[in-house]
Amino acid sequence: MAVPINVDMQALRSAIQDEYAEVATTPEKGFHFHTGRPLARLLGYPAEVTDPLPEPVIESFAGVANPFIFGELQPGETVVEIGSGAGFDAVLAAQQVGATGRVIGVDMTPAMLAKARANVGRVGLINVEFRRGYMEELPINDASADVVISNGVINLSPDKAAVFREIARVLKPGGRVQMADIVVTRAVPEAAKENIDLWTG
Amino acid sequence: MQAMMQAVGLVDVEFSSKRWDTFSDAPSASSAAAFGTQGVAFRAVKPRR
Repeated sequence: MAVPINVDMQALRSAIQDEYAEVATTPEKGFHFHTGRPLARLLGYPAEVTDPLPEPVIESFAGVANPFIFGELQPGETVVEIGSGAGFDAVLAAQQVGATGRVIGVDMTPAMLAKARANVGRVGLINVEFRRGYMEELPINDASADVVISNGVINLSPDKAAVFREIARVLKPGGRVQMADIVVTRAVPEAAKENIDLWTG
Repeated sequence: MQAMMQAVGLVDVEFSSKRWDTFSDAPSASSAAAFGTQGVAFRAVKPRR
């Protein structure tokens, strides 16, 4: 059973948006996580997939693992990405599902949404769209997704149970999640869980 | 996370055996590294009715 965390949701969302707006606009700045092509290599994304991508598509990538390790998505599938950022995983997903498939990325940070929309234009994809929204209240119809993907985002919600309720709501029967996120190998003190600075850094 | 997925009815939950050390040696200091944070992939399925 998930234990509620005493944190100001609006303040946390604001801090996260500030952080990720910087990742979108100044990816070279250097953060407490790795970014871009070096990160994609670290996570095992195939070079033949990432090398052709224009730099803006990959430079703001800030995932934590590789959700495609369980296999590529299938042609024709409808995919929802939670926390789509600048669109790196969404672009790869769109290439995998092809012209008969569809990818809907959801993100709450306007700077990331703007960059993601520009990025799909750069690679000539028309089967991807991005919507502004929160992972606890996905702007997605019930039972409409074959796959929900995400990479390093759910850990940023203090109400993870709500996120998973939303995931179950938007998935079609028989649909699946293929995600990546973080686990901690040492106990996190309760005080740290309530410190917004530690959520974002 | 496994318990939360199962609580909403997802089944066949599987975590990757591979873990990624995605915070060590990052450009800025991180509390994530202090907590031994690792990246992991996972999947689960929503049962058919």
